[in-house]
Amino acid sequence: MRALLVMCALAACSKAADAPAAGSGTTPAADPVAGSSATAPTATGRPAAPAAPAAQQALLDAWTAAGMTPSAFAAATTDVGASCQAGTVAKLDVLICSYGSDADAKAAEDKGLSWVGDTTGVSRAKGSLLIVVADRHKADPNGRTINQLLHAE
Amino acid sequence: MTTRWFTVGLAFVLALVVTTAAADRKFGRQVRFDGIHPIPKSEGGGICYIDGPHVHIYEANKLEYRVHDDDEVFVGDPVAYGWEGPKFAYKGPHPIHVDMIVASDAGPGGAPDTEYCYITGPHFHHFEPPPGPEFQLAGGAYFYVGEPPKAFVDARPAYVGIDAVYAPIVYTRPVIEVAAPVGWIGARAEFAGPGVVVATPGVVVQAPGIVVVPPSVHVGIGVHVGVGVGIGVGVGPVGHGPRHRGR
Repeated sequence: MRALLVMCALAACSKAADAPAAGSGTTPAADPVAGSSATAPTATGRPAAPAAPAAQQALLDAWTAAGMTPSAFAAATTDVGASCQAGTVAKLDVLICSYGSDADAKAAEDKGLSWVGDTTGVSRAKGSLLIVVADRHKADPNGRTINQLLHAE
Repeated sequence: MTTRWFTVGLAFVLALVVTTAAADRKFGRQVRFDGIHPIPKSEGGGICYIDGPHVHIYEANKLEYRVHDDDEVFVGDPVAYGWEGPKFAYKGPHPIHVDMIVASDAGPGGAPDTEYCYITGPHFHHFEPPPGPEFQLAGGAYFYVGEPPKAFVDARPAYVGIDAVYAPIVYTRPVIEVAAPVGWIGARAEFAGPGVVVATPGVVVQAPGIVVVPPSVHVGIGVHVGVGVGIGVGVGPVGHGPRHRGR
C-alpha cells in the first residue's frame, strides 16, 4: 500500500510539472513594464535573452504601423520563455518572447502552443522572437487579424 | 487484498501517465493545420486565412485534407468556401506537390511530398502546379498529362468520394470548354469512371467513362450546380497571384 501511495504521489508531481500553461499559465512579472526587467534573470535562474525588449518593441511598433492597436504589453512569467511580454491586440491574447537565437525561438514553438490551449491560435518564430496568439474570445473567426500579426513588418 | 489493491492502483497510475503524455503531445483538443482551409459550418463557415502552421479545436475531414508533419493540409477547392485569394483552374485529378502549399515541406531525401487531388471536374486550387511537362495549361486551366504513379491510382477508391463533397455546393467554378491535351488523365481508363473497388485484391475496376470534349476553345466563369452551366465571358487564364502560399 505504501508503494502505491508513493507511485501516486510521483505521478501527481509529474503531471503538475508538465501541465501546459493553456492560457492561464501566464503570470505578469512584478514589474509590468517592458524594459530592463524583461532581461533580468528569472527566479528559476534561466538566463534572459539579450536585447529582448528592443526586438519586442519593434514588433509592437510594426503592428501599430500596420493599423492595429496593441494594448499595453507587460512582462510575463511563463514556461514558454524567460523573456516574454503579454498583452492583447484586437481582443486576441498575444505573447511575445525573445530568445538567444533563431533556432531557440523555433524550438519553443510547441511551448507556445501549450500556452494557446484549447482554442484557435498560432505559435510562430520570427527571427529570435516567438509570436504566440490565442483567440480565446472568438474575435477573429477567419484568422485575418492573426495573419496580419504574423506578417506585419 | 493488499496485492489486489496494488494491482488496481498500478493500472490507474499507468493509465494516468499514458493519458498525460498523450495530452502533452497534442496540447489538449488542438488539431494542427498548415495553410488556409475551410472552416466547418458548425464553427461559422468560410475560410481560415491563417497561412502556415496553426491550431484549431475542430477536426479536418479525410477527403479534403492530407496529413503532413502532423499538420492537416487542405487540398480541396477553397473557392467553394469563399476563398478570395489567388486561384488557379484545373480540370481532372492531378498530383499536388505539397511544397506548393506549405513552405519547407520535403520528404525523405529532400524531395517534396506528393499528394493527389481526385476531383474529376473543373475546380480551383489556391496554388499552381510545379513547373514541368506533366501539367499543360490549355484554355486557362491546368491538365495533368503525366504518367500517374501507382500510389495515385491505388489511393483513388479512398478519395474518389470527393466529388460528392463539392457537387451540392453552389459557387462560381471554372467552365472549361477546351479540347483536353493528349494524355490527359481524365481520358485514362483508371480515372474515367467513378471507381468501383472489387473484392479481388489489388484489382480496381472502373465503370466505363465517356469523355466528350467540345471542339471550341473557351474559358469562362459560370455558376454550376451539379451539372455545369457556363456563361462565357472570355477571361483567359484564370490563375494569378503568388505560387507559394505558406510560411
